[in-house]
Amino acid sequence: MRKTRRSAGSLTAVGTGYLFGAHVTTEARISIEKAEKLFYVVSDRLTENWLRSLNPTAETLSSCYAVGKDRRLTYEEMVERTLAPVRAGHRVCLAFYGHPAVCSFPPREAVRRARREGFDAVILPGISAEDCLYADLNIDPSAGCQSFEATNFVVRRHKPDATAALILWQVGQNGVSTYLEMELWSRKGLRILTELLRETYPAKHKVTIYETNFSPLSEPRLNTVTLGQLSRAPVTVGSLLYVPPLYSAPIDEEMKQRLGYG
Amino acid sequence: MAERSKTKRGRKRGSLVIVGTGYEICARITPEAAAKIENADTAFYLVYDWLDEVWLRGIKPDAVSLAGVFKGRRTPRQCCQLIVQRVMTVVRKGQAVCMAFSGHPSICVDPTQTAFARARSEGFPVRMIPGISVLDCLFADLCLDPTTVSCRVFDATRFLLRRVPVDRSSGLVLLQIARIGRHSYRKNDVSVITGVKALQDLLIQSYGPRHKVIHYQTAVTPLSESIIEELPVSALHKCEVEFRSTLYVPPRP
Repeated sequence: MRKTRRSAGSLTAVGTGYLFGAHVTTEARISIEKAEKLFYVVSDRLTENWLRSLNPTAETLSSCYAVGKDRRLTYEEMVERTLAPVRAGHRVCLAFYGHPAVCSFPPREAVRRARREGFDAVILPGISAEDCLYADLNIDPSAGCQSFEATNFVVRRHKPDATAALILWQVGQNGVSTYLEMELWSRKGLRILTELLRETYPAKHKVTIYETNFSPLSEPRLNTVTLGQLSRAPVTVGSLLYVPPLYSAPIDEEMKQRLGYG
Repeated sequence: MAERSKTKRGRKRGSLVIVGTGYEICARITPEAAAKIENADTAFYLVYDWLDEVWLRGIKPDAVSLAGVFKGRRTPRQCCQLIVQRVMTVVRKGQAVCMAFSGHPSICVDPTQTAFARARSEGFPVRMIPGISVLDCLFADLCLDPTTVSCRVFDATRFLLRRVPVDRSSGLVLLQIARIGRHSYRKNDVSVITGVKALQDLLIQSYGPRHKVIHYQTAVTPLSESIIEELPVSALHKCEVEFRSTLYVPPRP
C-alpha cells in the first residue's frame, strides 16, 4: 500500500538511451524539461549539452565517481544527492543513460527510497543496451533469453540454460568494485568469465561482443569470436556479450497434445 | 532523410527499416523511429491501439495498415508470409520502406524477423530500430533490474512446449500468456483458460502453489494504467488475462 503523500516532492527516473538525439521518448523529455531539479549520468558530451539546454538546473552526478573509489559509495552518494531536493519538496528528475532500471543501481534505489519515505516516485522506461542488441543482431528474446551482470554471474557460479540465449553485461569489468578510467577494467576478470562459460559451452562456440553506438556518425560494434578466443578479444567496459543457445530444448509431447498441437 | 541508394544504372535501390513504436505511441515512440516512419517512401504499420494509429497517421497520412491481413481464417504463418510479401514487393520496386510495429520490433513479431532476413538475403540494405518493449515497461513499473536478479524471458507457449530447464534462482518473464496454444485463430484452438491452466500446473510443479507471481499488463494508451497484480500460483487460473498480459515469476528463495 502506498503511504500517504508526504509533500510536493517527487522523483521521476528516466532513460536517455544511447544514440544521441534518437532515443529519448516524449514523456522522458517532458520530465526532463519540467523538473525543478535535474540530475544526470550520461555517456557522451552531446547528450550532456542537450540536457543542459533543456533544463538549466541540470547537474551531473558523474562527479561522484573517482578513480579507485568503491562504486557502492559512489552510488550511495548519487542516491542521496538526488533525494535531497525531493525531501525539500521539489519535483526532481534523474536522467540515466540507457534504461534507468536496467543494470543501474542509483535510479532504482532512489525511487525505492523515495517511495518508502512517502514521496511519489516513478521510473519511465528507456531504450536499454539489450534493446539495441536485439535490433542490431535481429534477435527475438522470446525464443528464450537470460540476462546477467557479469560479476553477478561469476560470483554466483551460475550454470546457464544452454537452450536459451545468454546476454552478459559489463564483461569488461568483471570482479572490479572500484571505478577506473580505462577502456577495459579487467582482462583477468574476462579470463575467469571465459573459464566459467567453458564449463557449459565448447571452445568453438561462437559468441558476439557487442557495443552500441552513441552517435549517428558511427556504427554499432559487433565482433564474433569463438569462446576460445574471447579472453584475448578486444573488450571494453561498455561491451555486452551475446552467447547463442547451444542446442534446442526437447519438445514436451504431452504438453503438445494438451495445447492442441497434436 | 529516406535511406536509399542508387544502382550503377541510376535506378533507386530499395531499402527496409523496421522500427518499434513502443506502447502509448505519443509518449513513448523514440525520435529515431518517428523520423524513419515519416521519411519512408512507404510505411506499413501494425499497432495495438486506435489512438496509436491516429498518431501515426498524423505524421504519415498515407501509411498502410497491416491489420487487414488478419481477417479471415489465415494462420499466423500465412499472415506472416503475406505481410512479408507485401513489404518486399514494395522494397523490390526501389522504395525506401518502413515497417512499424508496437513495442520493440524484434520481440514476438515473426514478420519483422522474416522480412529482415529476406531483405538481407536479397541484398537490400536493412536496419532494425529498437523501441520501448513490454520488457522495458515491466522493468520500469516493477522497479526491477533483470541483470541483478537474472531474468529469463520466454514466450509462454514456447516455454510450455519445450522442456526448458527449471531455474528457481532466476526471475522468469513469460510473454503472451493469453496466447498459449492459440496458434491458428481457429475454433479448435484451445481456450485461453486451458492454456493458463497448463502454465499454472507447470509452475506449481516447479515453484509450489504458494509462490507469488505477478500478472502484469503494460498501459497501452495515455488513458489506461499498467496493471500489476500479485497472486499465488494457485490462483493464476482466476486471473483475467488478455492480449497484453505478461507473467513475472520472481526467484524462489
